[in-house]
Formats: sequence, structure tokens, C-alpha cells
Amino acid sequence: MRVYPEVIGVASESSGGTDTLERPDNLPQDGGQGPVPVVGTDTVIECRGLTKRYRVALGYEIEALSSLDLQVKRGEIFAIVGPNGSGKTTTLKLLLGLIFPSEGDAFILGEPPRSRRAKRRIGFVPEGPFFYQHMNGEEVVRFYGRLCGLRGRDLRARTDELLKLVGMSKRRDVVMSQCSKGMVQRIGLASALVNDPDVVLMDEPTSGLDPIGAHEIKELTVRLRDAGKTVLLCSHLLEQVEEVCDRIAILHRGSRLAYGPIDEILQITDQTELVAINVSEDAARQLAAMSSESHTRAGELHCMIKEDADPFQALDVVRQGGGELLRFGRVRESLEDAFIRAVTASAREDAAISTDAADTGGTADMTGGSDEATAEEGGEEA
Amino acid sequence: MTIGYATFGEAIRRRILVIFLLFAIVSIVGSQIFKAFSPGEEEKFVVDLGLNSIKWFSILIAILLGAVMIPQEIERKTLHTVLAKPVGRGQFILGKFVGTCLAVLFNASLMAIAFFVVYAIQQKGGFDVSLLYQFALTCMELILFISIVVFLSTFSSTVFVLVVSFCVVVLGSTATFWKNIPAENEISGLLFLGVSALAPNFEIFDLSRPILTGAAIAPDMITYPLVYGFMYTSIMLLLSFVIFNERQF
Ligand SMILES: Nc1ncnc2c1ncn2[C@@H]1O[C@H](COP(=O)(O)OP(=O)(O)OP(=O)(O)O)[C@@H](O)[C@H]1O
Ligand SMILES: [Mg+2]
Repeated sequence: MRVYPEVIGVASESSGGTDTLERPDNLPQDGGQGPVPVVGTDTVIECRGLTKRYRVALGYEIEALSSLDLQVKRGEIFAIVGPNGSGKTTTLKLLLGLIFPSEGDAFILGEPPRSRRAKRRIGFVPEGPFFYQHMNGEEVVRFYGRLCGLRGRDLRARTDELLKLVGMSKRRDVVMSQCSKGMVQRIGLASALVNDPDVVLMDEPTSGLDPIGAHEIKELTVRLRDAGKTVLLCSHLLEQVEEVCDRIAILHRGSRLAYGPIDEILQITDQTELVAINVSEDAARQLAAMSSESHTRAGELHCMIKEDADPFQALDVVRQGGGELLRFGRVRESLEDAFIRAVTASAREDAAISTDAADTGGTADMTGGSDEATAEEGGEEA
Repeated sequence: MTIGYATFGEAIRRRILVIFLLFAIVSIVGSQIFKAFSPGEEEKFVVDLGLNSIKWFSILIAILLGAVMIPQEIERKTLHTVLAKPVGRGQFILGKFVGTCLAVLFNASLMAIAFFVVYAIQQKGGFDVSLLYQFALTCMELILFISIVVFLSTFSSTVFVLVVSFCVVVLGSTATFWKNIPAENEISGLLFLGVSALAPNFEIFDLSRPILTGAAIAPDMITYPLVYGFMYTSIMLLLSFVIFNERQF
């Protein structure tokens, strides 16, 4: 992706409208590799006991979000992950004041969600954005710029920069009704960033995009963070967020199952992975015997060394078999594993609660007491 | 006002609008051909048909545009992105209202120009100021009507808005009839009274009788409907703000 780091202005403490177009010239050029900025201590988004019940039919209500506590810190990428219908979009809508909480409070930039002052510093990319079909990409961005009070030269300059940033400057004349999903998503992002927001909320930013498009969005997210912005994103695709985010919350049926820094939530498993090429057939057979699971893909031999086997012995086998070692080491569980672990743990807790006939309604904070759960599920095959 | 502008832009691109505009202009121009059917009353016929075409085609356009404007915005979730920007909900409603008014009045003006041209040709360059008065009142009537459509669409779906606004047109254009209907009993009497009190009275915007008979138009025949329309529109918009402000999307 073309890199235009100068486009992203630095988050300014002042919420004034004119100084938001200032931009720094010393932003890191690369994606995530640059030094991670010190995560600020001040809270940008806060949810306290946030609960949302939807009335679905006469007398029937469903609890889409149950007493969610959440704090997003300045300058971090925070992801809410959870399966379909877990309440992610509901949380974002509550934060934007599109719907009102049944209980609890939400604050964004220290203000209640409907405050216009806060809105000036917020950017929002909805899931599968949809824009006025008769406008072209450029007009859409200009429209949102005007809504934010930009006019004339400022507006034109900002629009040009953003279209470049999202890689749409050559296709700016395409009418929205003829845009592909990816193009619409890019325009959505550009429109969200038009007021140079301090906080960016994104709902499923990579859904419907091809791998390259998704990668570009991820890279852009990291660049936003590096420019001092706070990003809150939602996704049901765990692998989409695990590379980029600093902290996550796992939601399941409206309850928070896990919450914390991503590397605390993703535990290091007991399994050792070995990847090698050019191993002799004999050595491969020996390695397979030592592994709980092994396969060859694109000429590479992938082995999961058994827990009772000696990993160093496996290394010797590779060396003696004339092979080349590509990768060797403990594997960190994927977000998917962590998610499944959290869901099963909570299901078990629910069962325990119902047999006790106790009505605590507590949510399992997985960062705290999840060690037993891991011990029991550690042997689960990938 | 950005919203109003965008609404206007979206509205005038609708094909349905062009179709109705063409219909209206065809009927206005066509009045020159059909006037042969009412010999001796050619002028009356042309004026009557012209004024009515402007009014009714504009009302149709207003219903069709207004009924989709806001519900579609909610359904397609464009509203989410707009409200995520520093735009108040009241501003949004006002923008939609103004945009729809602009689009409808723009069309009505095109029809009116066609009509005035046809009229001038028929009268060999003549022009009647009372026709302008009538056009101004028709505009006020359209604005009032759009405010009702906007009000309805802040809390209901497109289909509901279509049905109810159609009823409003029928009730409003027959207001005198409802007021004077002999009540058979207390309940129906109250019902008729309620209907005639709530539904707007569209008849007061109609100057066609004095225009056709050539009678003088008293000033209050113009000021009263203007004030009435203004008040009614304000109340409708106020109610729309209140309802829309409490809505969840
Ligand atoms: N307007 C509504 N009325 C009634 N129920 C709703 C409404 N919106 C959402 N829900 C319900 O609330 C629950 C949470 O929905 P939400 O949209 O927050 O899920 P999500 O996590 O965003 O899911 P997805 O990954 O599919 O986008 C779902 O069970 C959904 O059916
Ligand atoms: Mg969602």
C-alpha cells in the first residue's frame, strides 16, 4: 500500500475545528514495526455496567448486552471480538448515541455519547457502509467533510489527502452505486477520518474485503494508532484483529468473557511446533512418530512434537536427516482457541450456577481465573 | 444545510420525478388541444387544468419523495454515519425537510413556467397576477404537506406514510364536506369534528373560483392561508423533532 503518513494528523488535545488539519512530519514510516508508543493512561472510552435490552415482541425482551464494563485507553487499538449476535454492533451504537442504554453509562472522550462536542472528535465506519448512491467517492467524502464544518480549500485538500490515503484517488469519480465492496469500505474509512478524529470506531472493517484489502486496512489501523489515535474495532474474525490490536474484549451473548492485553489472553501452549524442509524420508518418518500431528505442505514438513517427547531430540533428527530448520518453538494459542476456551469455561460456569440455583449472573473474567480451564482443555487437538 | 442540499440532489435524480414532471407538462400543453371540447370556455379550461396539474402532480411527487426520504435513510443506515458526525437529530430532520421542499418546489416551478408560457401564448402575451398568487399558495400548501409527510416518516415505514399521507390529502381537500356533514349521533359528530380539527384544510389554498369567475381576490384570502400553513408546518416539524430525538436506530 502506498504510504502517506503525513496525512494523519496527530491527535490534538484541543477539540478546535481549524487546528485539526495540522500534521506532523515525524511519523513512523512502517506498519507495526516502529516503536510502540507509550499507551496513555487516560481513558478515552468507558462503559460502566452497560446493558441493552431490545424489545422484540410484546412483553418479550432480549438482552443484547449485559452489564459491560470496558475502558479503552488513549492511543491503543482495542478490539471487541465475538461471534455473530454477541452485541458488538450494539456496543458501538450505544457509544454513538444511536440507541440508548437500558442500564449503565457510556462515555466517549469524557462526554455522554450524544454530545456534539465529542462527535467532532469521533470517526465511525459502520459495518458494510452505505452511502448516497448518486454521489461519487469524492462527493461522499466532501459531504461528510461539510457535515463536520469543513469548507472550501481546507475541504478540498483534506478530501484529496484522504482519497490518496485509502488508495481511491484514481477512482474518485466512480459513482457509489458502481463501487465494489472494497471501494465502498475505503470511502467509508475516508469519510470517517475526514474530521481528523481522535477516536476511530470501526465495525467489521475488513469484512467483505480480499486479503490485500484487509491487510491494507489493518496497516492503516496501525498507522492511525501510531499517529496517536485511539481505535476501537469490532470483528467476529479473530485472526483479523490479533495481529494489530493491543487489548481485546471477548463478547459472547452480550457478556464479557475475557478482557485484557492480547498476549495475556493468548496463552502459550505446551506444544512445540517444528517446521523443516529437505528432510530425508527416514527422518520424516522418525519425526512423525514423535509428533501428535504432522503433515507436509508445499514441501514443508510441519510437526507438533508430542508433550512427552524431547523437542531437542527432534532437532537432532532434522540435522541428521540433512534437513533445514525453518521454525521451531512453543506456539501461542490463536485467538480462536482462546475464544473457544473462554466460551466453554463460561458454559461450564453457567451449568454450575444453575445447579447451585444461585443467581449471581456474573461474567467470567478470563484473565483472572482461567488456569484450570486451560489445564483441562490443553490436550484439545487443533 | 449540507443535508438539505444532498437530499435535493438525490431527489431530483429520481426517475419517477422526471416522469411526473413530463406528465404534468404534457397535460398543461395538451390543454391547448383539449380546450376544443369545451367551446366558449377555452380560457377557463386551460387555467383550470393547468393549475390542477401543477398541484396534483406536485402532491404526488411530494408523497413519493417524502415517504422514502427518511425511512430509507434509516433502513440503509446512512443515518448512522451522518449522526456519528457532529450533526444534531433536529438538524437532520430539518435538512431532509428543506431538501424535499426544494426538490418539490423546483419541479412545481418548472410546471408553473410551462403553464405560464402556455397561458401567455393563448392570451397573446397576456398575464394574470392572480395566477402567481395561486402558485404561491400552492407552494405553501406543498410545504405544509411535506411537513406532514416528514412527521409521519419519523416514526413509521414507507408504506404507512404512503397510505396515511394519501388519506390526509383526501381529508384535507374535502375539509368543508366533513365539517358540514350532518352528524347522525354524538359519536360520529365528535369523530367528524376531530378529523376536521386535526387534518389540514387544503381548501383554503384554492383560489380557482375567484380566478375563474374573475372576482377580486381579497388580501386575507392570501395572508390567512400563508399564516395557517406556516403555523401548521412549524407544529409538524416540532413534533417531528421531539419524536425523532427519542428514536433508536
Ligand atoms: N434493533 C434490534 N431489535 C431487536 N434485537 C436486536 C436489534 N439489534 C440487534 N438485536 C439483537 O441483539 C443481539 C446483538 O446484536 P449485535 O448486532 O450487537 O451483534 P453483533 O455482535 O454485531 O453481531 P454480528 O457479528 O453479526 O454483526 C442479536 O441477538 C440481535 O438479534
Ligand atoms: Mg455487528
